[in-house]
Amino acid sequence: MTEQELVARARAGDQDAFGQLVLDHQNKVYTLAFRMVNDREEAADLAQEAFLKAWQGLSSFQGESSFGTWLHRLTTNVCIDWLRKQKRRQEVEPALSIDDEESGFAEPADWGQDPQRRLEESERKRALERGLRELPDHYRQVLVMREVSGLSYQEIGQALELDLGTVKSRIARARLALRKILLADGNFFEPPPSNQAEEKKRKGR
Amino acid sequence: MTCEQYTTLLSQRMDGELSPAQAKELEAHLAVCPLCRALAEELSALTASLRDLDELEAPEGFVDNVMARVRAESAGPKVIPFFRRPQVKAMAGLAACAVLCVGLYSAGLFPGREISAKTAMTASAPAMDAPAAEAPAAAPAASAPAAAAPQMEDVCADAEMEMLVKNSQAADTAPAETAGGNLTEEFAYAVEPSAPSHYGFYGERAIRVTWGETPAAPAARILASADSLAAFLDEFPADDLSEIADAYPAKFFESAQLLAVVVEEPSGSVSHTLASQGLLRDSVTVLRHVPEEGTDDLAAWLILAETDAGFEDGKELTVLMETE
Repeated sequence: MTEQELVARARAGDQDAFGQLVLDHQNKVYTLAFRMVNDREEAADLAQEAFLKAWQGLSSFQGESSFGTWLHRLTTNVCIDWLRKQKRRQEVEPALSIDDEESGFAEPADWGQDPQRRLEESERKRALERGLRELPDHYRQVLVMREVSGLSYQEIGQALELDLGTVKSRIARARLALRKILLADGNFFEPPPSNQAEEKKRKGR
Repeated sequence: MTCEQYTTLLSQRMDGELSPAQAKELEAHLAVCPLCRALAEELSALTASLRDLDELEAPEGFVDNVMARVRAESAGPKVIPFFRRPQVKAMAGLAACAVLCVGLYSAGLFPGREISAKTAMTASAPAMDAPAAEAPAAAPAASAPAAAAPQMEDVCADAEMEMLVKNSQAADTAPAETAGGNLTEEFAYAVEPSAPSHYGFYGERAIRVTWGETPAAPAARILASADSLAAFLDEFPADDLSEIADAYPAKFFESAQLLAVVVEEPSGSVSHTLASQGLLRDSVTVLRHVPEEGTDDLAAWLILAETDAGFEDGKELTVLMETE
């Protein structure tokens, strides 16, 4: 059954069809939530919330975008709401520090073909994952909204209650901060540029 | 401009958020600054990798948890419109009796007595805020004189009627164990003052538009056809909103509508969201988020959200602003 058919059935109230959609999209939704909030349990709750909203809102899903895109936006909104509440709470309480040690990462599930390359690739990705986790919350959030959710500066400003100038400079600083962390980590910007160029060639083939 | 300032432009370029003039300026700098060139490459590599990160695996049992909530949701109590509730329908019968009693009271027993007030009740007033004693009269006897209800007790000694009056006069006391015990309890729940029902909406987005080149703000309008949307967008002569028109084609309006809200602010730093339960039959609540420090540029915003509330096309709603 195609996704469109599943969506049509779910809209008509078919819970099994919706269950299949949840199964198909759970990792994507959970990953986005985790990248936004950097906490596994919270991410699982928010991802559930997003799917529940999707179920409730299916009747208004018109199919102008794919189900996945729609779901992505829903999830982003659910996370933004959470971040807003969190921000308000933090303004009252002293800043919460997120326990990084608890949020370990699953191994990448999809292994490439070439053993040498997959090692490099997975090493770089793991370095990047580590870097993201180390990044201060306010940097990570804007970066994920921009790079993973693909929101415009305008949308990010609205969502986080920031003016446009702050969004611009915060995203730029977030990138520089991540770069700095990754340079210190040493596993991301390795191999040196010559190998990177080779890799680009490989990708182009 | 320092290299550090160019990094902001560099970052904007990666996001396609650079004006042509800025792009030119940046190119000129990159041509002469190897450090910034190297940085540009590194940041591009970083961005490419960020977009290419692996997905994590959702925790075990995730689907089951979601589906349990979906099932609970679907099995949960549906909100039945007030006048369709079986209890209310049953009460309608009693109300007919009440009207009869009042009729007898005024016409038969005390022929000279005038009824003090003729409250025209309309069926659409859900009796939420009205004195509870009037509630049962509302359904079948839309224009019956119901104001005499408190005096009914003397005349109508019928047990059921007594229960009705008791219950309606003291909704918050424990329901009496009478023959209609269950009915009483349910009814007490039904007349409990509660928030008026609101309509759902989703896909909210805000677009900054040119101040002074919008319809009078604040304003909120329901757009239920592509033509209405096009006409509405014409009211923003200084902005290119073709993307909006494309995003909501005629097909969209077959089963949904757009809620369009226009607001103005003295500062572009103030952002807005629609209150989650803020969309009512005649009004919509907009939350203002005011940062501690902000710019003092005049700003206007167009906020759009999708709804399937079934409003009339072109309906204007009152905008209520709340500052957080």
